[in-house]
Formats: sequence, structure tokens, C-alpha cells
Amino acid sequence: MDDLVKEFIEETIEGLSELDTDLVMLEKDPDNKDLLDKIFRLMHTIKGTCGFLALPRLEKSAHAAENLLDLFRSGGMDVTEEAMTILFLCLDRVRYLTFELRENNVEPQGDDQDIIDQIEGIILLNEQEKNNENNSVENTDVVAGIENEAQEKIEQKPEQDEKEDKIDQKISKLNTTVVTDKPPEFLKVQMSVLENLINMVSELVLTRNQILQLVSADEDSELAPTLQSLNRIVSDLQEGVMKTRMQPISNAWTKLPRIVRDLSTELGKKIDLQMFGEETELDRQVLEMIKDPLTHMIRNACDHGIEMPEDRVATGKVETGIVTLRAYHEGGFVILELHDDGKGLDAQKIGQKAIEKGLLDESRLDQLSDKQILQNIFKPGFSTAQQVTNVSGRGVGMDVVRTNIEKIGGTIDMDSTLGKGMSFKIQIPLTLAIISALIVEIDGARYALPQLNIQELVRIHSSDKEKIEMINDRPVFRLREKILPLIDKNSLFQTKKNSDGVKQETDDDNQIIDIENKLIAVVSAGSNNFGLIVDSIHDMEEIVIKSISSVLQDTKIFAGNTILGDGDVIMILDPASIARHFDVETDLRNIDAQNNSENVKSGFMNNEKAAMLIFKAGSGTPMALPLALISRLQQIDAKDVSESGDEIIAKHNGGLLPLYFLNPDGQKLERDLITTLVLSDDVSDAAIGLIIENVIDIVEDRLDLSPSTARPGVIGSVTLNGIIVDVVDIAHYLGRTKEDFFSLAQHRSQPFVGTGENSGVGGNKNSGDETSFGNRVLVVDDSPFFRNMLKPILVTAGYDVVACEDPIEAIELHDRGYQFDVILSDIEMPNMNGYEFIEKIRADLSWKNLPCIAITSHTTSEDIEYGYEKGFTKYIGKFDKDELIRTMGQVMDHKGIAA
Amino acid sequence: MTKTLSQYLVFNIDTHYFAANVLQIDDVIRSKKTTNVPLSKKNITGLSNLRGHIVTEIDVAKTLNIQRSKKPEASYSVVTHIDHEFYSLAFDGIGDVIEIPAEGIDPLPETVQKKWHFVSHGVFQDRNYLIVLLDFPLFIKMITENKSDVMSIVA
Repeated sequence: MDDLVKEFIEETIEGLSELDTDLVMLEKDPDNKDLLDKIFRLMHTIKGTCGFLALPRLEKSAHAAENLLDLFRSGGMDVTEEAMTILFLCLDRVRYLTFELRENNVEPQGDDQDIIDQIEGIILLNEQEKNNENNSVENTDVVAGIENEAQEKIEQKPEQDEKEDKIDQKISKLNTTVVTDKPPEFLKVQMSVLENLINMVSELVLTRNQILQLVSADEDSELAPTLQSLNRIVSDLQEGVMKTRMQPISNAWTKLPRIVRDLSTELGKKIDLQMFGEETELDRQVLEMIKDPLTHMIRNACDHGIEMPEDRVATGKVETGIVTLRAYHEGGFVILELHDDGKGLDAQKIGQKAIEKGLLDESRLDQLSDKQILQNIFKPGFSTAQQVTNVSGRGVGMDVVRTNIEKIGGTIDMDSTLGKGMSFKIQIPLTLAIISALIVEIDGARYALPQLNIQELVRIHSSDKEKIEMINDRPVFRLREKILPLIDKNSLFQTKKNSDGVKQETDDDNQIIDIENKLIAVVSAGSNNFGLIVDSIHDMEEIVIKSISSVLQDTKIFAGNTILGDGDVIMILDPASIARHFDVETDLRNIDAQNNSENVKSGFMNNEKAAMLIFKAGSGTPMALPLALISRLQQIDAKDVSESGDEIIAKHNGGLLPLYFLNPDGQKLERDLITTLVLSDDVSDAAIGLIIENVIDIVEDRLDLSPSTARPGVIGSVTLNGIIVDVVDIAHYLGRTKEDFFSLAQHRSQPFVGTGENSGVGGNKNSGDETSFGNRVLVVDDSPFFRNMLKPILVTAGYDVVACEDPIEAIELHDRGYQFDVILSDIEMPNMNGYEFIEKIRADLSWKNLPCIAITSHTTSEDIEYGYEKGFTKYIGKFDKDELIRTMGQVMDHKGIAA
Repeated sequence: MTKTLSQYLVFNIDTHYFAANVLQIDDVIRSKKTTNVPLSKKNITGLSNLRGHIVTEIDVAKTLNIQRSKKPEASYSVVTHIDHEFYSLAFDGIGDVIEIPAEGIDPLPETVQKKWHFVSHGVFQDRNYLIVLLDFPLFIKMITENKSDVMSIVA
């Protein structure tokens, strides 16, 4: 049944019972004008609605009653018992019709002329009496005629009574049937009563939490069992009371089909509104808040989204546009999806419009993605319609929609495909009364941060300090290559000073963010994220939001306050307000723009990370190896290990595995099990084992190696996770093995030891010195670690190595006249990437015929394809040392033959 | 004396004596720990929990620009409420409840700070002291409407 009709029925039944009482009162107090007015209004409403809903029988009956009441009102007729009886009968008829309508969805067959005649009769009779009073003799004929007619009509009464009796019976029967099958009984309660009840339950929950905390400290407490049942009852009570606030979302939807129908007529479009998930329940308060935004968006979709039927046909769509509205629950949220299959948004047009409106800087347009441009529709003062129609564009823009949704802690996201349509996804919390919040500590005080807004928590390491940069004088943090504006306690709590417009000295202090041992709470506010620096985190707690007192209203960054389980009062931070206050959005846009224009100039690519295995080998500093170099960690039975002279050999998998101490002075062989890190070459089955005591940790970090020459077998030291570790020089051990480890290594009689040398002397100037011709390698890699890792491997394999930080440095070497035989280049580098570098080489350097090998950690087939296209000779994964050496050999041999 | 008498509770900050109609007072407690509210006005000490109600604590001395001659020995919170919002006003000491006849109330001398006129409807001359009669709702209103700042510039 149509929702409108349903609503009408409920209203009418309610109105009728009210009329019953009121009419009785009127009979007793016929001169009560106010009461009469009220009765008339009630009847009038019923009549009006019936007409609107096309219910002729009801309308006519109600109309007759209204006529009679109107006469009462105007004083044209006295409130007589007879008239009242007829009025009541009419009322019963209306009620009967209403019940029939509820039962069968249609008005019953037949008419109500009988009732109407009665009413007309009594009106006529009244007129006649009046006339008699006025002119007693004249027009007797007419009067007599009228009298007869009236008499006749009233004389039908017995028959009517019979009919009424039947109706009465039917009604009583109906009433009983209604009771038996699922009575939809409702009790109207004033909202304030309910609100009050909900508040009290909230208080009860808080008090319960406090008691729970007190008792949990004392496990043997006698209170415990009682408290447990109290706990359960309170939880049930809370749930039950919260249910009273819940309403199906269809309550916000009922008017939409009508709106769409009206709109399509008005606009000459064909639009079909499809709604799914009407039964999805959400908080009444939330429901109220989304009603208007939703209506607005539906209007938008019809007005701007769906095309005219002929345009749709022209683009190969069906004539009728479809607007879909879908609601469902997902993880404590209600998700609302609105989709139209219209023309979608044109980023170009939106961009132009935004520039016209001064919302967007023209120079930035190119740097923004389409999606970013489309976000402009959410800005105040933006209207996409070419002309403001009376359908949409009534001064409520999408900005109001977004503000309203964010006000209730929701988010709105948008997606649009030009020509295909667009969709909105709104995520709103189920309820506003109780939220779960993370209790964080900032500047020595606790604050509640709504959990819904927390994306993640990031612990900041002292070594992460470089990740905090200043962009536009605002601190930002690079989190997985995304930029996060940071807000710390100083900027959060001293905003007043800054917002005075007076540049304070503290501004500068604010920028030095103290992050030592702190956490970044990544907080979302709408579509923007920002990082809030917090000292520490406490518990997750269910909190009841209480509004803050009026003297604190101007603090702006709080959503309210609450009492915690331990009885303390804390403030609730409001992410949306904070984001607005700090204009995070503008910040992000500036950052985006700057980033795009600088094109990763800032050098964060330099932060290439490597997973390092930290372990203990002998006394002294822990040691580390790139995890990627280690094939496996293996425990070898001491029985299988034999020492012969300097060498330790383990029987392993039917072969022999040479083992090495990493720290000859402090290490001994264990009695039972020997832990080794096995490095193996899968192709040749050659392997070595490094003896360690135990693994400490695996740390992913960037490596700033400080080279050391003090000890063979150690490249240098680095700080990982706050501890200094020595990084093992693999080449040192690989060089010691007698195995055929690297194809070229065997040709070199002396393994290279002094890997600490770190200068550019390996490359020879083109000065006629031909001695080292054929083995000069240029390594271009921005990561010092990889440079240091590659170098020993290559040197061990017998090459002369020069390492450069970036292509610019390499080109400088070129310009200074250095010559090489092969170039190894990373792809992702600051200033100039590997592709640009190879292009440059192939295009106009004297190195243009050199073999160039790309070494990279990104080896998708597209990348490789692209690399070859640009002119790389070979492509090698970063840790694929064997492949590297082999390839080197190949390309050099090839070159040798060619030369 | 058949005249209308009202009961007033007397309290003091340093040597300044105040009184408020007992009908405006919900509670008198020893001041307890409060939660600081960043960005709030300077005369707002913070928030505390009084039997499940969140109470905003106001530093009366700061609000009325009272300079103390010595550090107060104790602090008492006089709790009042205006439209469901609870406030507590901090004083150094609490005195007796006295009865003041309506005609015993004199207008505030013109010489006192302007903002005092906002929060008081008169003074009462006790045997020992001059007692300023505070009107709590006006007091809160002054803070809410930010008059305290404005007035301090004027005064």
C-alpha cells in the first residue's frame, strides 16, 4: 500500500477518536467556539486528504459532515441533539470506510448518499425553521415542498439505522480481528519524555561503568555477582531504549517518489526512482538530519543528472532514467548510496565553473586529477546548473549537504563517469547518543577522539624525524608516500592566538614539532585526513556525548564532553571542527599542487627502505643483513659440522656447506645446534652459511650507512630501531668461498676486502690509460645502502666501481670526461629518474653505446617493457645478485667481442 | 519586623564579601580537581563531575579582577544551575546564611568596577562588612556573552 495512504489511515483513525470525544464535549458545551473550530479543522483535514488521495466515498462523507459543522460554526444552525446524532453517524461511516480501506487497500463499493441525504435533510429542515421564523406566511408552498422533501429524507432514517447497525457490527468485528492478527499498536509518546528517558539511561550506563571499575579492582568483592546482573540489565535497558530512537529509513524516503514524479512531469523527463533497503533502521535524530540533504540530492540527480528522453535515446540509453537509492548497514554505519544513470559530471566544466567562481586557481587546474576537480561541487558558492532552475539551485548547494552530513559524523563520497552517471556514497553513524571513542593523552590531559574518525595510529620513531617536513610553513608527515598535515598540541591548543590575525612569535615555535615517543593519530574529517599528534593512548570507551556549557561554546574544537568510567570529565575532540579550523583541506590542496608541480623533487624517494634482519653473532655490536639476501635460517646439528683448519664445513642436504664465523674472536661452535644464516645461489646450488647466535629482530627502515674500515667483513654501521648494528659485508664471505659462487669471481685470485673505500677513483679518465679497460662500472642509485651493497659484490666480481647518487651526478662525471664500460642504474631516483637518464644517455651522451642495466625493485612486465623501450639493455631485480653478475658478464663479453 | 526577608549565603574572596540568594544555590562543596579545557576563557578553571553532572568551574576572582593580598587557604565551589547547565563559582571561604530585608539592599556604589554592576543588584551593609549581593544567572550570562572581556577594556 502506498505509504501516504497508510499514513493517512493512521492519522484519520487517530483524528476520528479525537472527534468522538470532542463532539461529545461540544454537545455538552454547544457555545464553545474554540472547540467547534478544532472539530471543524480536524474534519476539514480528513476531507482534504481524502480528496488528495482520490478516495471519493470518504471525501463525500467527510464533506457532508464538514458542511454541517460549518453551519454550527457560522451560527446558521444550533447544535441540536438530532444534528449531533447524524454527525456521529457520519463519523462512524468515515471510520468504517477507513477500516475497510486499511483492510482491502481500496474503498468499499457503494455510496454514502444515505448519510449525505440525512445531513442535507437536517440542514434543509433547519433552513425551513429559520424561514418560518422570518416569514411565517409567505411562500408556504415552497416551504411545504422543502418540508416534504426534508421529511422524506429524514424518514429514511430507520432503514439507515439498520445499515448503521450492520456497520457497527462490522467495525466491532474488524476491531476484534485486528487484535487477533498482529496488532500494530502504537503509543504516541512525547519526544521530550523519551529523550529524558534516554538521557537517564545514559547516566545509568555511566554510573554502571564507574561501579564496574571500582569493583573490578577487588576481585573477591561480594558485589561481583549482583553487579554482573546489574550490568546485563543495564545493557539490555540501554539497547531497548536506544531502539525507541531507531526508525526505518523509509521515514525519510516517503516523500521522495512523489518528488521524483512531480519533477519528471515538470522537467519533461522520464525518471524511475528505485529504492532498496527501506527497512534499514537508524537513529531518529540522524534521520532528521539526512532528510533534507537526501531530498536535495534526489532533486539534483533528476534535474542535472538524468538527461531529456531524446538525449538519452541519442546516446544509446533507454528513455527512462533510473535513480537508485540504496540503504544498508555496514559495520556500525548506515550506508546510503544514491546513483543515477544520467550524464555524469564533466570535470572540464566543473573546473571552469570553479575558476569562474574563484574557488580554484586556474594555474592549478592542470595539476589536479578529475576527481579532485569534481570535489569542487562540495564548496560553498558552487552551482553546477547552467541556469538556476526552480527545481534545484535554491541556494542549498552540495556544500550544505556535506556540512549536514559531516555534522552528524558522516562522510560523503562521490564518483562520476562522464556520460554514464554518477553516484554518491554517504556513510552515517547509526546513533549519535553513545559513541565509542579512543581516549588519548595530549599535553598531560585526556581527550576522547571518536573512533569512527580514527583511521590508524602511527608510532613515531626518533629516526622518522626526517619524514616530517614543512610545506607552506605547515608541518606534514609522509605516510606511505601520502602527505598528512600534522596538528600538534601547540597548534591545537593555541589556535586562539593565531586566529587573532596577529602573527605571534609562537607561530615559529609551533612549527618545531616535538614528536619524540609520540603517536600520530590519523584522523579523517570528511574526505580529508590529518595527523593529530598525541602523547599516548589509553582505553577505548563507550561515551555519552554531553553538550558543553554555553560559556565554553567558543572553544570550537570540541564536540562535547563526557564523564569517563573513573568519574573524570574529559573533552571530546571534534575532528570535523579541527579540520575546518585548521583548514586542512586547503592545506592538502596546496600540498597536492606543490607536489605535482615539483614532481617529487623533494626527495622522499630517497627513503628507500630495506628489511634488515638483526642478529647477534659473538659479543659486541649486533649485526644485520638485508633480509632479501638471506635464503633461509637454518639450525644445523653440531654432529654434522666438522672443523678442518680454518674451515668449518657442515654436511647439509647431501652436500657441503661452508660455514663462517662473523666475529672470529668472540664466536664458538655451539654444542648441539648451530644457527646459521644460509645464503645460497639457487642456480648453482652454491651456498654459504654464516654462524650466528640468535635473531633479534627484523626491522624495516631506511639505511644511512656510515662506512667503516675497521673490520673485514663489515661494510659499516647503521642505526636500526634505535640500536647500532654492523652491516655484514657479504662480499667478504662470498669472496672466501671456494665454491663457484659467482661466475666471474673465480677468475679473480684475490677477493676484495677493503670495501670501505668509497671514492670515485674507480672510473678512469679517458686519458689513454687502457689498463682497466673492460671492467669499469658506473652505479647510479640514490640509496646509499644499495650503492654500498652493490659495490662489494661488483668489486668482488672484479669490477672497478664508481657510484653516483643520481643521474645528475653521473652526467657531471660524463661531462668531466669519465668513461665506463657498463652502467647500472636505478629507476626511481630524485631529480631525474632512470628512464629520463637512459633517454639522455641514448640521445646525446658519448656513453650512448654503452650497455645499460636497470636495477630496480619494481619489475612489473610493463615496467620492463617500458625500460627496454627507453633503451635499457637489461633489467634486473635489485637483490638478484647472481643474475646481476651473470648479466654483467654477458654484456661485457658481448661488448668485448664487439670491441 | 514584618518586612520581606530573604536568605543569603555569605562567602568571600580575600577581604571581599559576597552573598547570593540561597534559592540560587544548589550546593556548596570543597573545590575538587577539574579538567582543564584548552582554548577556554581564562576565568574558567575547568570541568568537574558532580554526581553525574558536568559542572563548569568559574574562577570568580579572575572574573571580577580581584587581586588577593594573600594566598587563599581553601577553595569552595558554590554550585548553581542555569537552564540545565551546572556551574560552580569558586570562593575562598563560606560564611553564614543571613537574612536580608529587601529595603536593606542599597545600590552598588558607582565607584566599583563596571562589570560588578553587571553581576550584582546591590550591596548590604552588615555589622562588619559591606556585602556585595551577586546574582548568579547574571554572572553566568556575563561570561557567556563575553561581556567580561569587553568590560575589562572599558574599566
